[in-house]
Amino acid sequence: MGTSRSKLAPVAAVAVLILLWAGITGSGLVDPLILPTPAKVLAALFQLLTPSELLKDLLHTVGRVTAALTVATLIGVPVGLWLGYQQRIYALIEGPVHGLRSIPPTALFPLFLILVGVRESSLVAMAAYPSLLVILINTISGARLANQRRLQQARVLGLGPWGIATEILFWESLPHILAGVRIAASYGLALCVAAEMFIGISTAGLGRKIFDYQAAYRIPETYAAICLAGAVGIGLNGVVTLLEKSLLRWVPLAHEEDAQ
Amino acid sequence: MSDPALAVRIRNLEFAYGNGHDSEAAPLFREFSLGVAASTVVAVMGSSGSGKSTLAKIMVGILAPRFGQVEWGERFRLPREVIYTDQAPINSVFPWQRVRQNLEWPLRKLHWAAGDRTERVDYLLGLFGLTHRADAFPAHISGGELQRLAVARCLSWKPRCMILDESLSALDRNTKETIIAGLRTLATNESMTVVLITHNLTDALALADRCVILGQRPVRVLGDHPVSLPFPRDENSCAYRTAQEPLIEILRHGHL
Repeated sequence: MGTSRSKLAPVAAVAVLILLWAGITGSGLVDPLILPTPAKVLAALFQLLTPSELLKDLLHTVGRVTAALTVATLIGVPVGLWLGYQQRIYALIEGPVHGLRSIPPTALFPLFLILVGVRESSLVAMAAYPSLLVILINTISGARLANQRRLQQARVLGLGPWGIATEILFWESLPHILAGVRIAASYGLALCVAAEMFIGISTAGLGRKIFDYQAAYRIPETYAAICLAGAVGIGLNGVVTLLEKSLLRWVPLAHEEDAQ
Repeated sequence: MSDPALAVRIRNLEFAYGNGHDSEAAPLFREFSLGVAASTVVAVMGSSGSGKSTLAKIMVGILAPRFGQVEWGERFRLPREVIYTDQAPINSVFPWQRVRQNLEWPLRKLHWAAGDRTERVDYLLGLFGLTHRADAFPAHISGGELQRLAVARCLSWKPRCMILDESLSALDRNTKETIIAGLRTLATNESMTVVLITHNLTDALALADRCVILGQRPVRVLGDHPVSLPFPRDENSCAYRTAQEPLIEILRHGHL
């Protein structure tokens, strides 16, 4: 009973939102050029969701964000575990890391183009950069919060730095790492869409299409692409939730939610 | 240490909390000495604040004394031979491992053969009443089961000495009895040395071969009594009451 209700709630929320949208456009209060009816947007979506149109863009954007998150995780987690464990080194670079985080990643677009070059990989790098910082900082704080007595026990049993990192610190930090990946996914998507819009490296990508449709005054199509970008965000979030459910079954809170 | 019968000898210990330079406050320990014989169970008792928990932490090296020596016997010098647990069992358990893996992991790290590992884990699961919980995560078992798991895990690789710092204090009767019976079995069968830090005389008398009662400021030994009653101990027996009486007297009045 409880689970079915909690699963229906988001669906109901979306339905209410669409109804509200239909009501506003139906009343004629808003210029259809600014806000088309849900039916028109839906029609545009179905019409455009073909391999040569939005489906291709969708796959490109998802591919870039996935690549960015993979790079960010593969670098952020090991480096974060190491820095969390080597607290003296972290104390030295803590300031610069947080300083870097304060620079809006979009401000670094030109720099990335110089550093990485005007290629597909620079789009991925731009999305990977803020994701990396979030995952790195979350992993560091997770590793710093690791239970010292458990670490001591591992040392007593003869584990070296590699064993401690992979068998203790990784698990101690995992809830923080996944929380970081969740935030990094939305950062990565936002940056990827923005980079696609403003950097003409590739003609494929949801950001590119949102920009092009809008420039051509194809408003329902613009909304359709925006909805698709939103769906990517929801999908990424869902993937992280699935990861948490399968990897964090041992965390007390996750179980209590399951049991209800 | 010359005497192989001793597990640990503490000599002329001086210890104070704080940075140790402000000598205004009298140190908690001053010229304190105590020996623990190998393969015995010693209960260290005293009221709250008597320094018994500090003593345990000094013995195991978590706290460093200002002066004096803590000398472990030769067989006790590897860090893994002396294990310490406190009242927070989750400190001694890996929450991401199931109960069985928690018991097996240390053995794997110490390169035990697979067959030996299984045999040891099954034995401990039975001894501490955890067999039906073997596949559960620590977060999903009861508090009493978790404390049993913590003790079992610390014992899994057969350390020569175990220091329990009030580990039994917050437990229900059944859990306590299971752990005490388990510890007694292992102390007898595997010649394990046990130092039980407790404020509870019943717990001490259920397990110990010797009871040491501490007084405070500075910490000193108020009473040091051997308890030579057979196990399991019967609280209603005459001999038990005779052994209990002087201890109650010291705990209450500070002397006989």
